[in-house]
Amino acid sequence: MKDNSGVLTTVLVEDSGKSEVNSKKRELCALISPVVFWMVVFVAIPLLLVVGVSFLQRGIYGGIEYQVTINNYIRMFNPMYFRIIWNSVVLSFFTTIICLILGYPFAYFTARAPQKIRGMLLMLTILPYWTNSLVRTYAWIILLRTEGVINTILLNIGVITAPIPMLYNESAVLIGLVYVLFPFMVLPLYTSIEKLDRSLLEAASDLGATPLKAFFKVTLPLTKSGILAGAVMVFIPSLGYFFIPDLMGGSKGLLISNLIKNQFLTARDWPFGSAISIILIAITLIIIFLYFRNAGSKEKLEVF
Amino acid sequence: MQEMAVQLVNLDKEFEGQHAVEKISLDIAKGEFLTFLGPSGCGKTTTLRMIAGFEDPTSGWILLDGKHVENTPPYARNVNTVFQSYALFPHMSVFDNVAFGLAMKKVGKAIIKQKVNDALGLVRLDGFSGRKPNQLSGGQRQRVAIARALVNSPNVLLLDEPMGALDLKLRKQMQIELKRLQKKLGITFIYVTHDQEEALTMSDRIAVMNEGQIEQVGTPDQIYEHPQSKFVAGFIGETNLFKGTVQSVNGDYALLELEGSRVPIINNDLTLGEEAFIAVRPERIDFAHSQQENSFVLSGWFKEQIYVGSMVKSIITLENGMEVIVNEPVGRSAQAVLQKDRQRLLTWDPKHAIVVKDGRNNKAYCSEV
Ligand SMILES: Nc1ncnc2c1ncn2[C@@H]1O[C@H](COP(=O)(O)OP(=O)(O)OP(=O)(O)O)[C@@H](O)[C@H]1O
Ligand SMILES: [Mg+2]
Repeated sequence: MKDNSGVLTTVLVEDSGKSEVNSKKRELCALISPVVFWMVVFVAIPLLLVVGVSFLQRGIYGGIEYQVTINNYIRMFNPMYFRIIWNSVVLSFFTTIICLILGYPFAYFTARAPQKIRGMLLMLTILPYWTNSLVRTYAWIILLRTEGVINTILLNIGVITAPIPMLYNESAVLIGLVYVLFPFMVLPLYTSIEKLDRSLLEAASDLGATPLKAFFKVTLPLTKSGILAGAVMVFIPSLGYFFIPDLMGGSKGLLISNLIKNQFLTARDWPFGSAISIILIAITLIIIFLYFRNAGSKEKLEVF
Repeated sequence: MQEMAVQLVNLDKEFEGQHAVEKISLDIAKGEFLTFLGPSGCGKTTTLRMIAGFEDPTSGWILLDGKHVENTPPYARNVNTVFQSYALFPHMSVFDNVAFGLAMKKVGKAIIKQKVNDALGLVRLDGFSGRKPNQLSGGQRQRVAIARALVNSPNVLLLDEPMGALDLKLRKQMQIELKRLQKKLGITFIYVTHDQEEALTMSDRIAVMNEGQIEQVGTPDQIYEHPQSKFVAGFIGETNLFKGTVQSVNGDYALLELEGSRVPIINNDLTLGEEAFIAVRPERIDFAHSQQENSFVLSGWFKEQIYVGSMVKSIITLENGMEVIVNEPVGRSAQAVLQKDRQRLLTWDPKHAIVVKDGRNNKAYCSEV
């Protein structure tokens, strides 16, 4: 008898538990349905279109012929395209490294500045990004080109006798990318450095660590999540910013972003352009996957 | 002369014009156990932070081992701190936290392992070395903080309420362990606690602080039995503070007019007609049977009785409304349940009535250890 009643109550309790879970689920559905709608309309459908097109054939005069093929992917097994992808990854890598090297001290001093100045410094970092990045890229062109501001000044004060070619090479692209993506590195770094408990640095100092040692033993490991987040937020977009290499890199080193753009706008080969896009997306997903694995648990992620 | 581990000379610290520490002067001998005792916000942590080097004094000096340390950064001072907020490194295991100081000194791996394990054993945390701080309870974290500082065996150890989060039993055990270790290694301890009993049992000397100043420095016995100011008398232990007027002064003795009685007290630079305070501990007050047997009695009315462990605490209200607390051992108290408002006569041995000054401005130091 006793046992039975025990079972009964358990069942009852379980039942009420279940209905609670169900209502919670319903609530959750209601909460995320706009997001789902948004994702479907603006992400999933376009993505599926791209995937679909990448398996079709190019028409003779551009356009698409509805005939399924995997030729677009096979075409990519070509050393030329491999080199383009490799160059893109290397360039993005250096963009990230330079952003980190410039951004870390900047974020550090911003986070350590007196409360009053801090907000202003952050504002100054973000402010330029409220103007169109295309416009700002043209500003760089004006600075860097052969008859540009920098060359003119250097010539006039006699430091150089002939203008230095600063535009239309890889370093110009690097400068442009670093410039545009800099705040995406600084903001996550700033967040993680600001959050760092200063008493930990006191403790390190108390235990005999010089400021340099304390930096490498305490500050750096504790801001790792910010570094990772910043790196991902610079690396991924730098792969896709086609207009900077287009405008500042001239025609020499082709990057994956230009390749895609050219397929769509110049060569009018949409299926092949789609296939390369899919490859770019795959690379991005791999990086994000690695990031999540490295960052471990979710609380350590530091995207703003 | 005894060698001094820490000397504070006119040490002063202002935050935005507010004094946190005001003109503190104190010599702490090598191997001494000195406790700062005082209410919250009186400047204890600030004083420790200046000794450790995290805070620059607004004026005054600190000498460690007889040497000025104005230009010595914290990492170069042979001082370690148990922080009030623990400040454990969250990304390191318990082991690495405790090993940090030794690793900075480039001590060999094997020795580090040995010492860290010893230190963890001392704070009863063997087997926890692999955990991260966020996997520990508050008290366990606090013990890691103790071990992390202790393992370096510095000249001076600063402990800012190092046992605040521990339960009574563990606290008592750790008190004994710490005291034993301090004696054995000859480390100078500068200790901060809110627990008076802890301060009285562990310290060689106690410095009672109030509003950034030191009110009195002395052995636990001196502080307890001979408080020199109203503040100290009231802050350390329970006490009854009576206010009276000096009626006559006669060599070593004086008579204080108090509630219509003339109470003999020990003359302590008193002048005729002066207002004076005397502090009498609850356990020093006796119930008298009649006026005749005693040199004086104070009359009051019984209010209530509370059993506190082995003591019976009685509350007697005097004519002027003042409540006097009287403690008696359980066996000695009147067994019969007393009626409320029954008259009782109070008296005490004059040598137990301590004349105390008003405070802050007339400080006197007992600097002998
Ligand atoms: N960085 C600071 N800026 C401004 N005021 C401060 C600062 N640090 C401490 N104070 C003030 O100085 C006074 C002394 O503080 P302190 O931390 O030394 O107190 P404490 O005796 O350790 O108190 P507790 O027992 O509560 O820990 C307090 O009034 C406090 O508000
Ligand atoms: Mg404090």
